[in-house]
Amino acid sequence: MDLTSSLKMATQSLLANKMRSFLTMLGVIIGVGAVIIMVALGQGTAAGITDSISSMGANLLTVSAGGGFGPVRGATTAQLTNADAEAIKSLPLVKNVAAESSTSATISYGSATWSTTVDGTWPELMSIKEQDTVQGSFFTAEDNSKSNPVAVLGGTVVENLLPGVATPVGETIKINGISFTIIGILENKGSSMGNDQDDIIYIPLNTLQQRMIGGGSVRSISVQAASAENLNPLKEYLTTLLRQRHRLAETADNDFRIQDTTELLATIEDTTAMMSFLLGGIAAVSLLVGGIGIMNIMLVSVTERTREIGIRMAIGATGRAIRTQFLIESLVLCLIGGIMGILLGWAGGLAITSLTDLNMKIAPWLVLLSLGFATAIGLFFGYYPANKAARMNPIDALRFE
Amino acid sequence: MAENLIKLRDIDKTYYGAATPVHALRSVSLDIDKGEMVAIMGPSGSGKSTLMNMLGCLDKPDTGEYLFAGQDVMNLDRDQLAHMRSIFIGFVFQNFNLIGRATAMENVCLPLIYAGIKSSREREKRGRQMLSMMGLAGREQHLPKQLSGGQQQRVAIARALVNDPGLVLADEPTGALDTRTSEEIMLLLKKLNQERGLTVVIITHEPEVGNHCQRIVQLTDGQIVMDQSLVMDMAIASGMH
Ligand SMILES: Nc1ncnc2c1ncn2[C@@H]1O[C@H](COP(=O)(O)OP(=O)(O)OP(=O)(O)O)[C@@H](O)[C@H]1O
Ligand SMILES: [Mg+2]
Repeated sequence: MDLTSSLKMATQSLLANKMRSFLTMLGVIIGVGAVIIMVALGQGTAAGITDSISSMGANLLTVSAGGGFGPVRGATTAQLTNADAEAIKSLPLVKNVAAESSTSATISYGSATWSTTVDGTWPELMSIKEQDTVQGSFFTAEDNSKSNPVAVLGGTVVENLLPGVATPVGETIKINGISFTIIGILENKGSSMGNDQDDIIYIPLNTLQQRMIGGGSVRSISVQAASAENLNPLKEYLTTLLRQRHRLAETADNDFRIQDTTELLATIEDTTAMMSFLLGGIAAVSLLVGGIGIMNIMLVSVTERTREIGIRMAIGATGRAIRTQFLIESLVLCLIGGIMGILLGWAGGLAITSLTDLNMKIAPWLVLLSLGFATAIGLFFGYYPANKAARMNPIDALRFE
Repeated sequence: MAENLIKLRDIDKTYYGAATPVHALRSVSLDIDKGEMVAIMGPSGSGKSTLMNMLGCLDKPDTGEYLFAGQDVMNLDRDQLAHMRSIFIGFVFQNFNLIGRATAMENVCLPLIYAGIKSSREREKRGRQMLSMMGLAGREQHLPKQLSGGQQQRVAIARALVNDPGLVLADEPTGALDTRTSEEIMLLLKKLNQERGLTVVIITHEPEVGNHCQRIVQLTDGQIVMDQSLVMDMAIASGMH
């Protein structure tokens, strides 16, 4: 029996019972839809995390104060200082160093106000983050050493504080009551993981320390290595240097932490991949339930059509031809269900991403995998009913009322 | 001497489904030649349909011998029996047994699909030919429920004939039709028998139907009790005029 005739017969009998065919498909539609949504959201989230980590900079080690996790030991709370950061600059294998400290502040411009994070840093931060200005320029090392009151604004701050101002550069704003001159506007980085990366103001670190928070401590130091292979040796140099500078005893724990973004990235990628496959697995179980629904209805259909099967056998159909017919019916059900499920998953994913901060990513392999899965379900759960039909005795089938 | 088509020898068939075994056929022997038109008659439950199922390769006898056109049927497996039905035998049933959601054309072309004719153009050509031969030109796209009983039975006959089988087996083909339509169907079968040399075996209760045939085989209680050829009578009758 040729494929065109089989397909035509299958669609004909499925169309004869439209509502039932649709309800039968529903299990597969929901199953495939769930697989798509779960895996696509998982993948999208993973991609989002990866993006936000790599937007911190490539080949980056982040040094922050405080050793490990858990309760702080000893009376003094360890701190990183400007001097620590300066010392790191002269280590071998280092490409860029930027110390950072931040505070939240209220900004005003005329009568407009906006609350945001003010980040005091070194100009090298922009090289590390590979970020540029769209207007004006970033502050210089000289601005930092002279503690100049200059500010570089993120796009979100500009939008909210200076709407309609054509050239914000040169305007004066007040940060916690202190006057600053805007010298640059940053290119937008967008939001990642629900964090608006453009809702920020950068000022020189010294300006922040001397005019706003006082003291010479820094929250973290970003250290960029020249290449990925240099990360591990650099980590050791950093440890040695900082232990020496902090005069730690041989047996004492580090009073600082070094985070490796590349390593972090790998861990997070592993975790999210596992999560998305776990979620996909749960969704696959629902697809399996859909498959059982298919088998159930196919069994009913085979029984109902016993007489038809008898007629077909009487006019020359072999068992194989009957089996093929029912298998194709269940395959068509599953494939159409699969395609509708992919559309449903895609639409559902779009709805979820537009309502939340989650990201979605439907990879071609995911679509192929879902269709393959639907096909397998159709064949697997269609086989038993189809075989039951194929093995009927023509006489008994013809006598069936 | 006509060529033999069916040779049954000492056929037995017993059904064990019920509480007591039913001996549906006992030691039946029957020869039918090519081109014969035979009526099988007998009371209800006498084994007529059982006999037809054996003749039509839908089922195999328990014991005995069955040669169809010289071929031993007793040793064939399921697929081979299906092949025999596909190539050599056409069935016509009392209740038409058309597939309800398929058009007249699709019903008629179905045996061609199972016979492995791949070209849909070729199938449709033969289907159309068959339907117009049955006087159903223009009804190709009608569903069975849109046709009268007589028309449905003619679709069924077209389906039985489309693969050009040597034998048509009809189990009470007029049982569900009124007298006039029955007569039409019988004349049609008779015409096919006379003009195309088709071998026709008809199971019937009705003497009028039997009278269209050249030979009547009487079954009672699973045994052939009478096998009467009417050819001579007819020859004598026509000679007398
Ligand atoms: N599948 C079966 N299982 C059990 N008994 C059966 C089966 N088929 C037929 N019989 C029995 O075999 C006997 C012959 O049945 P068959 O159908 O051949 O009779 P028939 O002559 O065609 O009768 P009718 O004129 O009513 O159609 C009956 O007693 C019937 O009950
Ligand atoms: Mg009967």
